[in-house]
Amino acid sequence: MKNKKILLIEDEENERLLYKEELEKEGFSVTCCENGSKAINFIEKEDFDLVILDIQMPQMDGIETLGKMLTKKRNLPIIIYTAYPQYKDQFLTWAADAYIIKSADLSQLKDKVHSILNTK
Amino acid sequence: MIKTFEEKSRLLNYELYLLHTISKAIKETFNEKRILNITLTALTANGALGLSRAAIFYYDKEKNIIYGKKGIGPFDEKEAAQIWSELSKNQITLEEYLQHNLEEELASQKFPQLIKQVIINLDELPETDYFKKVIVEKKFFHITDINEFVNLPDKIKGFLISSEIVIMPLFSSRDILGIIMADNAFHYNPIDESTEILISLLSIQTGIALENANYYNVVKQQYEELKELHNAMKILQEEMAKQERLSTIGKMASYFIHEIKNPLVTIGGFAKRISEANDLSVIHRDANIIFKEIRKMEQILNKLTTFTFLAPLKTERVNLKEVIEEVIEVFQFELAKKQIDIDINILQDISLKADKVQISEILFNLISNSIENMNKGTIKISAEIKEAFIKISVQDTGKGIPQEAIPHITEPFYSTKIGGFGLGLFIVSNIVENYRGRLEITSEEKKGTTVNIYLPI
Repeated sequence: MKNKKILLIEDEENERLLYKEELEKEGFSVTCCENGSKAINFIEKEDFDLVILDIQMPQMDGIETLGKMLTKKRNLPIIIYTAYPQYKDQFLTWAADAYIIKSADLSQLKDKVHSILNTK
Repeated sequence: MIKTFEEKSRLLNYELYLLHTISKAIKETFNEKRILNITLTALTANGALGLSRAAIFYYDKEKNIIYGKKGIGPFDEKEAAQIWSELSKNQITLEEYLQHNLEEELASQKFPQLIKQVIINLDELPETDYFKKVIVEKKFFHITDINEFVNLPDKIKGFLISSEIVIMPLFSSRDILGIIMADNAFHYNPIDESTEILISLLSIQTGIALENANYYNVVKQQYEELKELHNAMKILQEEMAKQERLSTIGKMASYFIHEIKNPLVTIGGFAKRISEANDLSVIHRDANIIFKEIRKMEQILNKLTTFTFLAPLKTERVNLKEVIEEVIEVFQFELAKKQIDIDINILQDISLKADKVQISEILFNLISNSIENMNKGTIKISAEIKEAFIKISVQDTGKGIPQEAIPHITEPFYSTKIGGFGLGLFIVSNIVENYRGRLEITSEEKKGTTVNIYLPI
């Protein structure tokens, strides 16, 4: 079976590396970018199975990125992966498939990715 | 029957008029009900095709069933006489007739009611059945012999009168949508060849109109969804900005979450990997990342102490031009990327007695703010001696600060942008105050901002 494709948007370089390598270990193909405008370009050119998005990024804010992504691909599954716990309800009512608070323990993120992509 | 040339051309003119009028009415609406009404009216109206009764059935491909959607016309002789006498009383044009709303009339009539109750499973029909043949062969059938009625579904036979019937497919550009059926019951005027052609053309028009209506509704729904999305996004953005600006605690929380939690997540994540790794090169690399992230956190804490302990630490004679050049060096990359010019206008020998790190901090924050608010343009940095003070000015051609924000701009954790932590000008104003100096900020939106700092010599 072909690897499921994930687009990861995270402005911190080392975090990007951590998530990319850990998700690749799970068998996913991971494309990374550091800001929202690059992510929009990727989305236009390629089909992804899932997007993992950090809110509060420089340049294009995460919410704006989210809006633009949904405008382009309405049914694209999106996980908000963020350090901010306080906006969960607001996001889940209109946009994201999951809202996960960042943690050094990545098991919650991995479980969610598997469940959304039906890979476990 | 041989028609004269004159008769033929008159007929052709009439047919063209009919087609034009009907297709104009159909094209003017994206409403499915209206389209069906116009089609059925055109089939049955006296001034139009003049058939007695007409019905439209939809085809559900998935379930392979046909169901009655809408019908028009009398059920028996009595009803026919009643309807036609009423119609003949109202002398209206075809255009007017096509515009009128059928719903109320249809609700009380028997034939339309019966059509709505029809559900036919195509799997249960024999291959010879006309309804099945229309769907499978996508062909038009004109039945003139009542003995052929055996080849119609039982549910249709129930309301047939011994008359001619036409059954034809209703197409969209890609698929078969259903069936149109019409008859000449009660008046028995023969359905001739030109009527057949007109019915076929009408069925094509209807199919296209239904398809367009469907596209229109899909696009409309998508538009509504996007509008909703956009509103939700706006509300959330405003709420986030409000929460962050609301209280110092909220602002501090935002700052620490971003600056401390992110490195912590990275450190924890890589530490866990090390605990599971066997490959020494991976362990080295990951340990190095942890080290760098911890350094980052140290720097953040250093920054916090900068504004906690603001008293000058080490005073010396500071050459202002040198400090400015050192600070600008740090921004070289961003300045080039955003095509921002720096214009420095300072006498070589202006100097002041101060803590060099703090003077750097002031300039660093002011220049950094200017760069963030600009795309192309110029930052002018100048200094002059005014009595016992040095006046340092940083002037940019950026987007400016809203007037209502200016009084708050030196408060801690106040920021005019999402993602800004509002510490820069707070630090600047505290350092300046410690030197018993003065800070002036003037700004005009879309034109730029000027910050003047007065420090004692």
